[in-house]
Amino acid sequence: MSIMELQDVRQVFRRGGKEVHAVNGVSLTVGKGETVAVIGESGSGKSTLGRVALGLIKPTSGDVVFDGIALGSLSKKEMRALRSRIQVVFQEPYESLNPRIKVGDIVAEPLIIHRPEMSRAQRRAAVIAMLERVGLTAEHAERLPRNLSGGQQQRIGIARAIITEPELVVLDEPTSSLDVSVRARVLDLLRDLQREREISYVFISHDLATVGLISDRVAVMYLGKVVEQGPTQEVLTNPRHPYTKALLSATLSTVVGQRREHVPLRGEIPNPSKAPTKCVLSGRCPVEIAECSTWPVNLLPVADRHDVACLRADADREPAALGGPR
Amino acid sequence: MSNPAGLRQPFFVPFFSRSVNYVRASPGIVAGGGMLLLLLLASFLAPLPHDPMTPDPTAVLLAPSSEYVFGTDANGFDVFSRVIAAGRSDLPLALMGTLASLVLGLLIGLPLSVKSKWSEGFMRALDAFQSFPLIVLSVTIVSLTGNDIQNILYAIVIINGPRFIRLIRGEALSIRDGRFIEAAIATGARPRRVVFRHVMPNVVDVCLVQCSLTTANAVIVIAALNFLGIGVSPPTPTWGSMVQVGAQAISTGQWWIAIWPGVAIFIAIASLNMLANGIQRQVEGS
Repeated sequence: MSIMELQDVRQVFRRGGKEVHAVNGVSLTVGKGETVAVIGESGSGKSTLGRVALGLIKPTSGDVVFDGIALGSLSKKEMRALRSRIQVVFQEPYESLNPRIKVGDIVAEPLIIHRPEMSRAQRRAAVIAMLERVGLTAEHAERLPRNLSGGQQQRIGIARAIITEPELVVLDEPTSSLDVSVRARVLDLLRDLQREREISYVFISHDLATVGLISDRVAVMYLGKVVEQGPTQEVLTNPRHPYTKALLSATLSTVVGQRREHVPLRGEIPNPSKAPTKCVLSGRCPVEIAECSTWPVNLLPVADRHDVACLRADADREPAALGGPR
Repeated sequence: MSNPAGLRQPFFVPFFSRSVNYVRASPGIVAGGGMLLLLLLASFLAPLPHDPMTPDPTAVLLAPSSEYVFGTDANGFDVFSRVIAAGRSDLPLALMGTLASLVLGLLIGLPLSVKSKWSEGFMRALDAFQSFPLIVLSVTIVSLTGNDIQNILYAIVIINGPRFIRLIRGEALSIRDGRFIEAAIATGARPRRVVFRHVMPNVVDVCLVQCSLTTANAVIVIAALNFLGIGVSPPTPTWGSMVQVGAQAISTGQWWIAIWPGVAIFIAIASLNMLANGIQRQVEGS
């Protein structure tokens, strides 16, 4: 059963007469209680995709369907009411909390908006229960955000997101600004909450190690397109798209003595100023052939639930073509 | 509480260390606020040696003495009593003008922080309005509508209201770019809630500074209008009209009539500017 479906979402921004094609036709399904990771470098359109999924920006074309409801068809009022079911945790824990409002009031705000029937005392009890659930205490409720550590601030962000018991939470790089030790504990918290409440996560990240820990499926984005998607373990251990391979080879292995083949990409990520007319990786790809530059490559299944947008997804068992192991 | 300016704590922490540290950390607030408080207290509580409204025809143009501390003017008014009494009307008027300007700034500036063609158009209209010499405009308005004291209030708002609107809108625009505003919208907050709960508390800092500066400006505006004889009827003491009366006597050697109200204006403005400066530093520090 899916809780959210992104259907061929496109997002074009206009900045000073120039067009930016941030998202170029992405379709993605998130199942109930599932964690789907969206990974990619900055500029890949993953955060824009998250905002579209939240209904914070209207896609240029395509639609977002949440629990059978097309977000595009909702009035502003209906959309606001639906927000109690779709929540978000942002990357910057401090910036996402109003510096003038006490932590307890920040966590209480979604209840004030979505559960107006609650009494003050009920709300306070719910807030304190929630603070304790995310590993803080009632005493923290009286503090201002700046008097908390980064990890605590992010726990507040999480508490605010889940207090209305949403079915889907978009996690926009929730741990990337945290210390490694804090990161692990915040990830544990997120996983426990998911198990308790059957929340679905859209986990936006550029950190493959984190993604491997928390997600069931991943979608790899590059230049506004999903170039590979599939079960996390499958994609991370058996990547088929040259971009995924390059991304994986650029991260350090945690296994002592293990050497990964290094997959080089030429040049830098280009500006997404026009809709792609050829494979998005064309010009940077180590295994490029002439056909790659003639049409945009779409996702094709290579294995069970594993799709890759590459004409040479099957031709990758020739290490020579990739430069070979070092 | 920790030391606001991050000064080194003395080895031995004395009883009054907190207030001492506060004075050290923000001398502007303490000095400016203290002087202002003194001026207000004097205006309202100090016993006056002579009636500021009734002249003594037998004591005309007397130099400062123990009987007339600041001397007397050409009509036989006691300058000291009148300098003190003028504060009773000038200072509250300046504060009221500032308050009115602040309210106007919040009411118009906050809604204008929503980016739209309409709000851009309004700001351009405000540009055009502010390009007039506003003091001339307010002189015209006050002299056309009559010599009423509330017209001075309008003059202050005409000059300072647009500044508040501009300041609050600009600040609110940058606050709206903040992540916590996006978070509030994602939580489901209505636009009104976003403005009052999330934007407004964050413009308080700049408003405090601007209020202090505006009050100083209002003191000048009031004095300038009164100097021109606008918004005041003769026996009532105001600093501006006293300077005007005294200015005529300077050439004949009676300097004290214009100097003392001038000094009062100077103290009011200096203390308000110090206060503004002090608040600014506190705000930047936090």
